[in-house]
Amino acid sequence: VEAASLNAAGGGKKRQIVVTGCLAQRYGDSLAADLPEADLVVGFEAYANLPGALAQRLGMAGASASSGASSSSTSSRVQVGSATVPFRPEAERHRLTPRHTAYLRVAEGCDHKCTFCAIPGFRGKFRSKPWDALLVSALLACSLRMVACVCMRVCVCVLSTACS
Amino acid sequence: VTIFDGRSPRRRGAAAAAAPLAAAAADAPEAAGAAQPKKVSFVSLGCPKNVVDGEVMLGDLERSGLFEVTADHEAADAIVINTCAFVEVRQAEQGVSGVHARADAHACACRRVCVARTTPSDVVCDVAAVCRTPSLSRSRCAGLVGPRWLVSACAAPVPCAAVSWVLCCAPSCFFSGLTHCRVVPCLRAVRQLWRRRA
Repeated sequence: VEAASLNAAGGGKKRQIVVTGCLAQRYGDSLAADLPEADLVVGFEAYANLPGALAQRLGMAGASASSGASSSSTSSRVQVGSATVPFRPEAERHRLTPRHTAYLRVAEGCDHKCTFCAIPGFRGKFRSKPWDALLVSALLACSLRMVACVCMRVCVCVLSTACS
Repeated sequence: VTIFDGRSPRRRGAAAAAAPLAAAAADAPEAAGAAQPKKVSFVSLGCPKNVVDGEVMLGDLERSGLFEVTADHEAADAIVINTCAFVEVRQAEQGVSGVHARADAHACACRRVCVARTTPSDVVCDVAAVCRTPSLSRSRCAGLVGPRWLVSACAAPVPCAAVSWVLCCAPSCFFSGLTHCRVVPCLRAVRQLWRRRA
């Protein structure tokens, strides 16, 4: 809503509002209905198609080339698929954390059925990250002073790295 | 990259961290038909898992050559909001502010509201309270719980070394028996603890 207010503020510039994350995954359709300001509602399975979908929304040249998916799958406003999605390469990424630390995802999902928790419903079944992929990410993180391992059942496990 | 903490935007020094990818993105417009890359800003409201998702997502956008990441929402052509909850909206809708007030009154600080961690019924929000005092009594904890609320995590301030279990319930917490309380991540609280330690 705050982001959409930038569009309403004028200036003639229409910014695309993309909603991702757990809320989009869990409430995709109702969220899109409740939030007309959102131009795209993208779930976990469609994250890889986000550049293509966004380029398509912005009418950019090369949109189809950047998207590995069909244009029909990137053109819909709500793109929410399965909750249990395979791991994607996570070594090369745009870091949001402070430079000395990074999160290292070691697993995803949860198989428990706790009554107070809805996470298994939209984060999918528990699966461990393959060792090789984990190792690549960990090696890239060796220059950091601190690595925090995260997954649904391990909230944050902080490791101080001492690689030379 | 701007990260909203639910109330006000915070600027973070991600420009340096983005340097390698930014260099790659600078070469990419040629491959994309010499078009100027569009600017994308990012709002991260979620837990560490969501942060990882967001980082990978931004990496994808930059590597496509069609986009560059900016911290300026006004200059952005697209704003990606990666969230598990619309905190302020939900606060307004569900009266979380009242819970916050009560929590503050009891020397607690409700740090995070997450509609994602709810029961499947009409319990719509989940308040993770990080207690400022280790002496949070059961009655005070229970006071945070309304008919539609579930206070799931109360943690005493802990040193950095123990920050991995920062969300374990305090021993005196009414919910200390709920071992799964600790899986509620509270990224902001962790960051604040780190900053305090630094």
